[in-house]
Amino acid sequence: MSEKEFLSQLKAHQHIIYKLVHLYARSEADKKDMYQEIVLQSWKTYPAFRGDAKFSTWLYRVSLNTIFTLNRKVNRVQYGGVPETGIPGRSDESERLYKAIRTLPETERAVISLHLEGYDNREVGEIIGITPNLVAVKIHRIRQQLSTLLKDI
Amino acid sequence: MTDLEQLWRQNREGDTLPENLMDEHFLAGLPSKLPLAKLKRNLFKSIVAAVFIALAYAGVLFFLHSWLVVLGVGILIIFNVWTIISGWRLFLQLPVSVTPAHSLKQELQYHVRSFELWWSQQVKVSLFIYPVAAAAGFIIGGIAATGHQPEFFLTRPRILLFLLLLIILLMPLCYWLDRLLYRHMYGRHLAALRQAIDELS
Repeated sequence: MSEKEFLSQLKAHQHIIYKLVHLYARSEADKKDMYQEIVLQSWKTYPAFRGDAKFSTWLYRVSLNTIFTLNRKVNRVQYGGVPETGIPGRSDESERLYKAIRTLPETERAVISLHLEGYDNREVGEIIGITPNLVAVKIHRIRQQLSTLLKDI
Repeated sequence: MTDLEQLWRQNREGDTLPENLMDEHFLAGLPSKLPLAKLKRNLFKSIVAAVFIALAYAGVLFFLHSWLVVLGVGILIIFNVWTIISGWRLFLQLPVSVTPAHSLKQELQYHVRSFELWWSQQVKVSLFIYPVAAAAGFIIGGIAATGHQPEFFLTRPRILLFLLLLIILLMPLCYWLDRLLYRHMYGRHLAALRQAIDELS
């Protein structure tokens, strides 16, 4: 893939980065760092992208691996921070879903975002590094949690 | 498609990244903020510093006539060369970027292992290099301040005992200070990485 093709693919799939950043960033500075680092890591590693997987799957892997290994100077045990401002163009209901997901532990946010994006349990398991059975169990539990949370928020 | 999926997929066409991030020239000059990338850059700087220090010690050898000082400086050079070689081997092992071929869990484990590798190298340095360098500094300082020859210091049992005590005290102190610094700089990050691994296990 040429540099030009890579940048155009990245542009076409930038919503993936955008969504993940909004699920994990706890401040404006965090958001900026995450955007920058994910794009930088994608740019550094795209020469090794052989097209075995879909570009979107590859970008999900880069984004999640970057977000989790980036030092965000916050205690990840305290879940549930929400962005100070809403996400432009997104409905109230959609915003509520994002808020609800942000109250989950960070690894569960990754699982549910991949699931909602349409990946099956095997694919989610491969990206996250857990078995499809565990993915199924986690998704079942997360969906129940989200239903309760969406009633409360 | 359920309600949740519909909500998740809503309005994705409005999601855009900052425009400057799509510029390859901008990306080429951007330093990574990944803690391991920073660690690697710092490791490179300390290797370069160790090379200059070893060269300076080697230069000093030409001006020394006392066999004791030559022996001491020679030992320091050997320690420095060892630091440079092991530091360089570690530098080559540390990742420069994330690995998309890894799953998230593998990537987290890889980062934790890399930090542990770096820390084990740092422990060796704090236990052997710092105390030896401090002892050498003690002798050189003594020579410079009093004008005595090194033999004067190294044949006095009290000074030798003091030197020994200094090394014995400095070893745990250097280790403790290094550990404190390490925890201050990377402790929270490592705890977060380990917690995420635990959640996935």
